[in-house]
Amino acid sequence: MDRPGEGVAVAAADEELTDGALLSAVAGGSPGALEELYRRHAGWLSIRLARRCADPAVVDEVLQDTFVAVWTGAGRYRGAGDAGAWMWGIAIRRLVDAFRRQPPTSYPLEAAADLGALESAEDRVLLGVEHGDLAGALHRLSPELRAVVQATVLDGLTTREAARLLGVPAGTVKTRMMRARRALRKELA
Amino acid sequence: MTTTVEATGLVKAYGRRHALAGLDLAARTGVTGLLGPNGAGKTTLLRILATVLPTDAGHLRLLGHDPHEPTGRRHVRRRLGYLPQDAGFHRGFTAFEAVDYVAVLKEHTRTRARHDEVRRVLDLVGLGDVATTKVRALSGGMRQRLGLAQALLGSPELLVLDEPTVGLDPEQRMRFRDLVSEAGRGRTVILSTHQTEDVAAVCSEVVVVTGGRSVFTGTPAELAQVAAGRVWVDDDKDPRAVAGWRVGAGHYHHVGDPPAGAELVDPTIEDAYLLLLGPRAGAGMGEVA
Amino acid sequence: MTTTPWHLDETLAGRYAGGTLGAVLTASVEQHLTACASCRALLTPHVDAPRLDAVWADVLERVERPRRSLLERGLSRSGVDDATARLVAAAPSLRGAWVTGTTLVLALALVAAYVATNGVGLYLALAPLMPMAGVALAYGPMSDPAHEMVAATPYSPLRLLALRTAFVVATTLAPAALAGLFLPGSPYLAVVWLLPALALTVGTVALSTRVAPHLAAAALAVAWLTVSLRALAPRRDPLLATSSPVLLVCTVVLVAATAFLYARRRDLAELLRRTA
Repeated sequence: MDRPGEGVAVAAADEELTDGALLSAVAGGSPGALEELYRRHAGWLSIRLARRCADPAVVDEVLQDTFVAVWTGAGRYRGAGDAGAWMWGIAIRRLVDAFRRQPPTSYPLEAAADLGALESAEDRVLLGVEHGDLAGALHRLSPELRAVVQATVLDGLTTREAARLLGVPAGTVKTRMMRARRALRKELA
Repeated sequence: MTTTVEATGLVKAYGRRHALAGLDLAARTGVTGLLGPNGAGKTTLLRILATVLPTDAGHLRLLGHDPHEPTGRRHVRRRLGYLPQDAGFHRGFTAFEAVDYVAVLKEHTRTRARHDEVRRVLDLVGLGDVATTKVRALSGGMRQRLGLAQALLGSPELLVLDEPTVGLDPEQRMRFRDLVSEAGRGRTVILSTHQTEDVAAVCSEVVVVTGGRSVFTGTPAELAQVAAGRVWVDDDKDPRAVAGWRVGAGHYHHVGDPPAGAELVDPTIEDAYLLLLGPRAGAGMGEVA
Repeated sequence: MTTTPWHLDETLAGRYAGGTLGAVLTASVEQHLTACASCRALLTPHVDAPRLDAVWADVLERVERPRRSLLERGLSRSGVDDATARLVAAAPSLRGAWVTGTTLVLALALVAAYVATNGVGLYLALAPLMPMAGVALAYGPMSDPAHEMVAATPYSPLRLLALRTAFVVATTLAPAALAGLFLPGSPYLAVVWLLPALALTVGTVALSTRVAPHLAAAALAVAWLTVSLRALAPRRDPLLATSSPVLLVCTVVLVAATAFLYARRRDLAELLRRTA
């Protein structure tokens, strides 16, 4: 391992370093690069996790596991897509693991279900800008179907992982996905 | 500003050979350099100051304690940092673990605080990024810095460094000197070297050691003055000089008793060092740093 | 399919962080975040900073102490604090290679005991050497590359010595004791070799105050083997190593060495530190 080990030089330059470059540095064994990645990503990852897990202690634990996993697995990143998405992939799977070890007492879905109706006209405009018809169609799905779509499509989880995350049996996830797909196709046809 | 190290008449013998033959030393806050050739007794002296070796005779007080006394010794060791020559580490340990090992032995019992301290000293010497690298994968310069890191654990009042810059390339040596100067603020640092530039660069006080005795104590400037009026250049090598060597464009630089009408030049620490070492300095002194 | 670039503003960020942004907008925002670094940065202030710092401290701890060796994990499981575990783990005689080596030697000697004539004699000759060798390797300049630095530390040298010796003896006695149970012949054999083992071990420590530990061990090993290996000659008693005269000598050595160590106990650790 022939590295300059010049900790000072790295610090000055890493304002310019991309996430990809930082991950390479982490793969090479630099805790400083990991710390910079943490400063950039821990905030939003923590919030995104909190939207799926009501217990802040579990969120902290999963956040910790995530960055330790980033440390050991940085070599596997290989520039495939956005670093943030890669890290979220790790984080959500760590959350699923945490739920497997200790199923939570309540799932945030129940709490969020009511708030769907409170979106303002402003939000509806924003939605329209971002996704056009699809947003409206998604909005008109029931909360349970929407949650399944989010877990499998947006978060990229398998049926079994989604089941663990949402606290429902895998069969239920499958049926709900079928119903969601049918409903959306009907809406968008 | 009390004297951190008080030593008078130190004697240490190995069989019939006297490594130290009545050496005196007084050191206070700042960096004190021990300058002397190999075999002069510097390492023996430093091992004694680091409480690793007992003296055979003489008076010694470190940080106000007597290191011959077990309790005194423990008190000193709690406020001491030592970098020996050829500092070794378990090759299978990572840099972090190697320093952590010494930290445990320095009685840093609380794990969290100890780990923070290990990280602090590693960052101080610029090894923060290689904390998880195994010692056997570190370069020589890095291992030397690792040695300095363990010596700095716990911010000791007395830092004893044995030939800390040997084997380092000029850039590494420069960096090391910066670290040592920094460490010397508010602390007593005693280091040994046979390189006069180290002395000129970092020491506020220098002691020239040869034959188990100290033959000069003073500031680097005062040391240079010892050779005042006894350094000259000539076109030919003068065999009567204590030492002479070629410089630049075919002139010869001499140290000793100048002949009448010789072209005198300003003395440097090097010149004074050679003068103090005496006639033996002439032999084999072809190239000097 | 957006016509204008869409980013979060402060209000949206706040509502998302607070969980008051409906499900679909949340999904929208989250999809956007995976690709937009500046919007991600907008969210960081919405998380409690001390909380993030605390998690980072934990990450760093785990990152810098990634693998604890089998030994260290075993030690902490048996209630030893990790500082002590660190000290003990630094002794080479506790490395996996050493333990495997000793076990192998003993296994072979055990096989010899069943297979060879007077094979038991071989076992009785070798078993006592294992703890002694382990102790000799557990301290001193030969075993600890950091011994010079260690010598300048305040940790009680006696405690360090005792710690290492205790662990070494435990790990070398255990396989030997286990193997001893399988020795053919009287069950007394499984135990009697302990006396020579102790004599050799304590004798090594005592001699190490004068000469380097590995030399002390070598000298004693030679002395022991000269006597005990005679048991392998044909028509000799295979249990020579445990015969009364030998055991008597071992007892004398053990008592003398222990008395010596007890008498010099105050300077003991310093003496052992300095043999180089």
